[in-house]
Amino acid sequence: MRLKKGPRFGVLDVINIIILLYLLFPLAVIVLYSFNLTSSLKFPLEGFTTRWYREVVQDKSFLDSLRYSLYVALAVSTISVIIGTLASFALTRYNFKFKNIISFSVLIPITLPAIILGISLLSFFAAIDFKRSLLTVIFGHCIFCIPFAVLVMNSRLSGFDVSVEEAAKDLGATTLQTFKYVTFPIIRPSIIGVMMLTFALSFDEFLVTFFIIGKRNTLPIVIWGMLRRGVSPTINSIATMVLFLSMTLIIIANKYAKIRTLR
Amino acid sequence: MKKVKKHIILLTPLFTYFTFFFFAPMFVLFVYSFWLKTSTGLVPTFTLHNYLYIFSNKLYPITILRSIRIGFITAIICVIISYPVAYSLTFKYKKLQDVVLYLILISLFSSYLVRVYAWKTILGSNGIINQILRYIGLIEEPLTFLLFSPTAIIITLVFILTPFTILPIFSSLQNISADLIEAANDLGANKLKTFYRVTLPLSMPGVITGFIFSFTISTGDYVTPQLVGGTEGLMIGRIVQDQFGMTYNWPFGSALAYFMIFLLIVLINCFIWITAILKLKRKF
Repeated sequence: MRLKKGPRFGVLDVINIIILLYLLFPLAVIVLYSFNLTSSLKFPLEGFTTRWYREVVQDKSFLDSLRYSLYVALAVSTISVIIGTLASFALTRYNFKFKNIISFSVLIPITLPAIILGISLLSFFAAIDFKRSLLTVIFGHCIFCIPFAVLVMNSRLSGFDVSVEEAAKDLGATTLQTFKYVTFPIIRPSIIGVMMLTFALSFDEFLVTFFIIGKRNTLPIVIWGMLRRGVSPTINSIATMVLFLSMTLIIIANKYAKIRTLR
Repeated sequence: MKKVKKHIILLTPLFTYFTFFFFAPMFVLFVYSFWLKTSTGLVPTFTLHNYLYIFSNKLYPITILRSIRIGFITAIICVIISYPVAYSLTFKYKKLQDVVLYLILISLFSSYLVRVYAWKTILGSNGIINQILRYIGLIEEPLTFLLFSPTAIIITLVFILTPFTILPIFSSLQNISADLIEAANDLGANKLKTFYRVTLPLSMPGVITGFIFSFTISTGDYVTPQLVGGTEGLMIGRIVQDQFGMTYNWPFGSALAYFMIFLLIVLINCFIWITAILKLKRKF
């Protein structure tokens, strides 16, 4: 029973603290400097202001891009959760030929570098003469969001006790009733979790979007434009707002579906 | 027979979607890689010219090698620093587990562009590190070597990808039954031996998944080398992007992309093979 000595502060904890600091310090810098009085990155900070936030909120290109990003992310999360959930039912409940190959193939898009997804979609849309727009961005985002949807739903459905469905059917429920009153309530938390997760992934995506965007720019494309132009304090305030938005989404998502099982 | 039909119905949307927006695009890209770019435009033909062209100019093999080296170092560091965190999350921090996980998820899901940009503001000659060092009087002139180097790329990529490697390792550690570890202890194995012969081998699938993710993502990354890499940190993503942007040589860009996929598959299999050999050896 040596393992259960109880927590003791040791080398391992020191290592962990250093790693967590490394993972969080840069984000803290961004948040802190978004309130800095001057536009330079002077240390120590020179004073507190919300000026950069006010500037951002009045910026039309920012507001437009925010709207487009929300629109894309909403569409992507809806499509991904539907396709992903259906596929996950097939993969967890039935045994069939090529099941392993299919489970593996679903994951290929997220193991490929994003730039390859981007250029392949660009070539494809050019080949079939399909005009690039927010619609092509939605199509592109779903390709890496569906795999995540399948992964999270699989982890939920593989632990699903099918006997409760059988019980409902034995008691005379139709297939539709069983789904509505038994299956759906059980998987609802995961569905919400998947929607939040895919929403966050789509909202933040840059590289695939970069190749297949039309005239209307999403938020990451606008941020990229700002980054190319140089360091501006408004980037920090946009970043902070985006950080808090994704944090909220992730906390909700993790509350419903344990993203920790992500593999 | 009814059940056979059902799974096909359930998989149809996925299958259709992937055919249209993944397999077809990948196929089109593959076809392009055999076309030729001439002064008049793209000529549909079948030639290996684009693949051979990769070796015609030293720039391309050197950049590919650099990308793979940076990707490999990044992935190794990611796995090494992810392991203690994932291990502690599983076996040590029972109460703190949720808090630490949230901290990791915050990092994972904050904007990718912003996280790269953060390191630019930290490492730059007017960045936080130089400001602090000057403030406490350690240096007079800013250290310029911090930003725009392969090292800056690795620091940034490890920062971005570590949460991505922690999660699969954590999830594979969680699957290890406590009974196995207890059994090893009861049979007289000390902590180190238990770790080396039970815990580590059983968590290898998570380590491999984490390694593959961080290796492929970092090797093909575009944003990080662009923002913090400078001229010394030119990576393959930039060259591929150029072919689809300014240079407008899609066939060569496609060939580069497929050559990269080929190399990644070979290298990942080598990695899996090596870990398998190490595992075999331990059994004796």
